Amino acid sequence: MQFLAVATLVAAALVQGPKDELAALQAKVKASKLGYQAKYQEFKPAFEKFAAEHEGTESALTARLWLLQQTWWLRRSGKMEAAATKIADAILERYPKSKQLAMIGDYHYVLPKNKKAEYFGRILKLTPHDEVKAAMVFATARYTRPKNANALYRKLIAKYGKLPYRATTYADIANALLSPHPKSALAIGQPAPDITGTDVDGHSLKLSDYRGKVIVLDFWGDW
Amino acid sequence: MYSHERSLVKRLANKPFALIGVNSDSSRDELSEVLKQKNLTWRSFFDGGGIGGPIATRWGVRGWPTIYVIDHKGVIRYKGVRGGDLDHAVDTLLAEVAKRSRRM
Repeated sequence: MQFLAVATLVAAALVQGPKDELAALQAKVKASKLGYQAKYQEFKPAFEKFAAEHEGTESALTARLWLLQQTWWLRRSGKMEAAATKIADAILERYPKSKQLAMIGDYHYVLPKNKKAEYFGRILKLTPHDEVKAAMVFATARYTRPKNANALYRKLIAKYGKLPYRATTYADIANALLSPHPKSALAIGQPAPDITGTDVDGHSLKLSDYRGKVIVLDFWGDW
Repeated sequence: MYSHERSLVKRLANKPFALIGVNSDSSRDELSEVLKQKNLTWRSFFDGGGIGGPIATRWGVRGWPTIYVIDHKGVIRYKGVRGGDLDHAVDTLLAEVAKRSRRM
């Protein structure tokens, strides 16, 4: 049985390109019932092997970015920063012009604090893509230079505001960061600031539409 | 999970009450799946696909879930109440609404 399963996997890998092979690997990770950390231990070798075999392809970079992000699970052993630095250096050397480098802005937390700005700056210089530039300006503002952050957010809005950030735009997130509600405005006894936005289907939704009702406003996520 | 929200919504179906979410799941598809699977009937803002979305950022939300209870005039009255305290907060504010309509 096991042999058959392996043979089927090998045959499938031969027929499919690296993209499908990686998708199959990612599906296995997703379906695995292990905890996050155990998942990393379990699948790390497979991702490393995949990346080595397909080096130079975008799929190999996707695998290396997963490995970079997952170094988070090494933090307790004190090996996270060294491992992350090694992977990030290899990525920058081999894939300096990939659009996927934008992800490194989101994975900043595995990089050594005093080196984040340097990485973001290097990527900013290397990349030809506005999407990656925007991600690096954002990451620099957000994670390295609180003093100059507002100037960088304004630059982000002016130059890259319309580009997507997650499921929103850089203008949206930068505007929120530039003008958060002051704590005093969110205190008990204060009028609740209005919220305008969209629901799951993209239909517009406004908090003030519910005036006249008692509202429980619940910031939530399914995790 | 969600059982308290569900019972609140059910118990107060005919009252001037609304549970409004601000959701930080990673995509509309994922949120849609959650709503369907867990049969959640109340509406949520979709907050840009992750924690630290524009709405949560403006509101300075750092932990999830975060709860605000707002009265019928739109004033923030309670923060961070859960369980029985949440029920009590909502019932108190609903009593204020009832008092007002009796006066009119």
